Amino acid sequence: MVEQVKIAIIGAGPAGLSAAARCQALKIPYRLIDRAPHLADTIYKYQKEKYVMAEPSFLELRSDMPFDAGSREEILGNWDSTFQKQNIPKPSFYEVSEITFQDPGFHLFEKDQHVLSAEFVILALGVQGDLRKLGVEGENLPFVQYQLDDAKAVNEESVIVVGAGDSALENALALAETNQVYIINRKDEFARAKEKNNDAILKAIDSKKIQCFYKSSPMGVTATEGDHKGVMLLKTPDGEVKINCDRVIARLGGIPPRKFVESIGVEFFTKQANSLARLSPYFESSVAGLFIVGALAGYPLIKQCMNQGYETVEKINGNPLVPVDEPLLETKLAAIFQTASVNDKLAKLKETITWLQHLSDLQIREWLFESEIISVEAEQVIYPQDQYTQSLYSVVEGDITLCGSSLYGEIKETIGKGDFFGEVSLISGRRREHTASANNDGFLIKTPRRQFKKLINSIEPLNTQVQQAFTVRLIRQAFNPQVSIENLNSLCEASENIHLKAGQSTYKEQDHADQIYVIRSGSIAISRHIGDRNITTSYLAAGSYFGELCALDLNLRTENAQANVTTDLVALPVEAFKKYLKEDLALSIRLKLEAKKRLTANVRMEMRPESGELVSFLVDQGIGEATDILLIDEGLCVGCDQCEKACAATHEGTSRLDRKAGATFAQIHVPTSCRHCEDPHCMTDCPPNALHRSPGGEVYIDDSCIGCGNCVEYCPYGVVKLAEPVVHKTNLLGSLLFGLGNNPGSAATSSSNKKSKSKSSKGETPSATQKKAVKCDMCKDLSGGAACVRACPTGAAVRLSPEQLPKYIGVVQDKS
Amino acid sequence: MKNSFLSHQNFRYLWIASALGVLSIIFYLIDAQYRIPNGGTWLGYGLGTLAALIIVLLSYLGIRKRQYHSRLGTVKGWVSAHVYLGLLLIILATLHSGFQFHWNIHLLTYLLMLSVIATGSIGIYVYRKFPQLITLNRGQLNNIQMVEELKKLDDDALKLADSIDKNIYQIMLRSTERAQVGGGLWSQLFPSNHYGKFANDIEQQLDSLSEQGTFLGRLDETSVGVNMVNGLSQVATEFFMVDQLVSEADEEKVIAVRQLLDLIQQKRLLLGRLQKNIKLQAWMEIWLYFHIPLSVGLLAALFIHIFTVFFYR
Repeated sequence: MVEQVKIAIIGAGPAGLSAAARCQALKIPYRLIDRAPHLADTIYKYQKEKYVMAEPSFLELRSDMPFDAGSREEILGNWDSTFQKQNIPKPSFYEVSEITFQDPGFHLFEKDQHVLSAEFVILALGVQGDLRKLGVEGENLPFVQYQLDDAKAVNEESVIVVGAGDSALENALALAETNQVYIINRKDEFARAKEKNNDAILKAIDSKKIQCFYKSSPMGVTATEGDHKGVMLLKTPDGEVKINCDRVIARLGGIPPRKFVESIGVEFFTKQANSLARLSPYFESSVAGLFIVGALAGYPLIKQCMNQGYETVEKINGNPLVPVDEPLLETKLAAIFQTASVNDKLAKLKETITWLQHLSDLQIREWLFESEIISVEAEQVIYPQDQYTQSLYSVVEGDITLCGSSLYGEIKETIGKGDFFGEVSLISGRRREHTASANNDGFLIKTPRRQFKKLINSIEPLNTQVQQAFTVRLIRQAFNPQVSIENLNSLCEASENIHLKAGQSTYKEQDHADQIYVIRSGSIAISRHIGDRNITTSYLAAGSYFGELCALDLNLRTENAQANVTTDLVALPVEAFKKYLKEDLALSIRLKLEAKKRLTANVRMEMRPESGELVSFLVDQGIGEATDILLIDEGLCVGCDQCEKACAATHEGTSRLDRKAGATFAQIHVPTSCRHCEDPHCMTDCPPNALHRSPGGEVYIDDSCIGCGNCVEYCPYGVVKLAEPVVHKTNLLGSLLFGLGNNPGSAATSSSNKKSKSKSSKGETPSATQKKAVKCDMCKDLSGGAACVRACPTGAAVRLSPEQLPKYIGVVQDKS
Repeated sequence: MKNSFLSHQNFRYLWIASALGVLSIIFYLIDAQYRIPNGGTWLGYGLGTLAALIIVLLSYLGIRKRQYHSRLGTVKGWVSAHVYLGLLLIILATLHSGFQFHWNIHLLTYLLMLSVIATGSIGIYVYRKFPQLITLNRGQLNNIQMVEELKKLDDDALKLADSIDKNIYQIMLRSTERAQVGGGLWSQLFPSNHYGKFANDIEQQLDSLSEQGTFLGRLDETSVGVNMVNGLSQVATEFFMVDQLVSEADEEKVIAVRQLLDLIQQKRLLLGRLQKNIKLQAWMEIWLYFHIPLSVGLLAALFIHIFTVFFYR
């Protein structure tokens, strides 16, 4: 018999649960269906005790179900008990195989059998979809699995991991501790993986902890009897190979449920696999009565999912509904445009700011949340030149002048209504090269770097637009800041982007020269082979050009160019460049002069190879990507540890530098201390977004750190550490005479302990005893500079930016 | 030199101190035309007050250097001022005394001041010179690594010695026990050549050998190199080894003796480096143990000096 309901909710994740709870509260007949035999399958499959965040924090939760940041267990437990308390019936656990639309309702099928009819359908499927299988014989054998719940439970087995994504690598690495692990990679490198995982797996392969088969794919798995449960037949470049195994773990990603959704008749934006379904502001798809919410609609955050489940039910029930973000948006948008409704304002905004064309209405709403609308007065400075801010600004009203001084004179540019600026620092991670100031009163929208990066990573046309603008400005800045953008367009069109990994070379001596390069981000070391040694002659930072001699008709390279760190370049074909040079006489003269200067500088460096070696050493130590580095002149250091003491005293008792650790070369010691990298590795993946870069360039960690240790792992220089809460020093006299503080020897209490205790009672921060990440913040909150340098009695400790380096090297070398 | 505490701000405090010194000498010479100089004239009071203020100011370095939050100049600047103004005190205080010295509290104050300056001068010297020496001496190893390296050398040497001869093993064992680094203050500052004693032992052994007439004659016969030998005791060690070498027919043992010679050489060099390191580091710290207590004494004496001048005159 076919069940009849008003609303069918498919998927019992956060969105589905929230929708079901709302239906229950409104007494709407509904049915909640999920194929997994428990609630919230995705969260259920998180690793044990995983800490789940309740982002975005500014968004209010609108649901009958509770939700707050906490461990996986707490969250699932809360939902289960709420279901019981509110007498919400258990979901039906089966897989919906087909949904057909038959006006005025939907028919739902389980295994080709019509089981349910509903007026409305809420699809809250998530994006997990079906796990992709091996696709060869034996893919369903019991020892072939597609996920790994607990790596610790697997010991002393022979395990084959198939896949090259992050989950495959993480599994392989975790298993390699106690098992014989093989990893099968279809390609010849792990390009898709995060840098952290890539480094770890290559290390494990090098040290023979894991055996890797590159360019290989499984041909079949068969069960065997004997020592091992099975054997896998593998196709490798060297022929077929058989591997005995006890377990096969294939991590090949999931097949998103798009096909299923399309089969109902829902339209998507583009054919691209990651494209989103076309939705109304109330999540209704192109099929009337079918709503798509949650991750499938493009909202991966739990709180958003729950709100959408709630809102959709309200909407179906005909209740007047203001989106939960409406009041927030209203206050945010209060200052701009004189129209009444938020929707009108959003439409106008989309009309005004050109790059917003690439965003859906929902994306615009979300973008506005993270962004800030700022009103500017005439002549107000938005950011000064050389500041380390990285936000992007879009002009809603008024004109902005960008003006800066460079080696080649003053630069001036006007940015009008609808345009954006600030993308150069955003992409390259370097300081602002202009001062931006307002010409007249107006409004700007300031988008934080993280948010905008997310947008350009997910929306290809926007990425193209921003990258083009960036390339033009970069080229102009490098060669002739006074030329107008139009003159450079043809040169830019001929350019191509080149991505280099650390250590990869652009060209070598004697190579044929046909391109000129400008560094987008990262840095390049120029070196020459002299005798049997490679002498570094110069080091070039982002924004500089190199390889220009070919434009002066030198067709063979006379030097090597190699990336110090991950580096992006713009390559300009020499023919196009020469064509441009004909129009720009001043530049061609300057290029010649500059080339001469560089050549003489190179010769000077070659005559003092020890300076070159020192540069190479410092580049190895990370000066290539540093913005500020602490160096100790060993010829002056008396080992008093004043620097460490000063650091600890000014930073809650934990020194962020380790004087003795670190490398030394030619009397220059690089202690373990933060380099404040241009594109900080530590900021790569901070779940609570606790790492920031201040306008002065200092990279620091704020109080929201949850101690997950990601930054510690990402930092290649080992300068971020997890520290226990700080212990208060007891004043011995005070304690002896007046009984103040702790008695000597008694268990100490910590200041941050006290702080976080009071906080956690309000439920704001994670547990008090948790370690938190600490690192150098360059004493940004103290006037007068870094405490380590100020406390050095002999002048051994200095902080330098890469630009100050050549001078410093000269001084140190003269001395010794 | 350009970055050091001596050259801070282009020798700012050297200039200030020199100017003050020259000025006070000029004033003194002028004043001496009119009266017999002593601490009680107006110029004497002036110089004395200035000197006392400077002493108090310089003592404050001990506090300032621990005030890590302080924005009152850099510690390097304070040290620079400390050095030059401290040296200036010799001129100021001497002129203040008008060269009138008697056995009393005033002379005690003066002598204490001079001893503080003397210990401080040692400090200047070691702070400026020794870090460089330590870096050069140390190479890529720190003290702990050196000790570990020595341990390894000892182990290897003992193993080799054991494979050669009981007698040699005993000597090596004794040498290992005697080779001492660090220890009390005296042995840190003036490390004695314990390893040399080991060599002496071997020398005695050699003497008895040469009495038997086996040694000298054979030395000429062998072309085995006695390389990199400095110091008689080392020569002796190696002669002994050479003797062992030529008297042995077993080729494996010959190689082992050769390796043992190498190890002893290495150990001698490394031990020397380590001892030098400890010595330099000890010197860099020891002067402060005199400088600070003497300074405290000076402050006390200075207080009594001023008190007696004004109340018991």
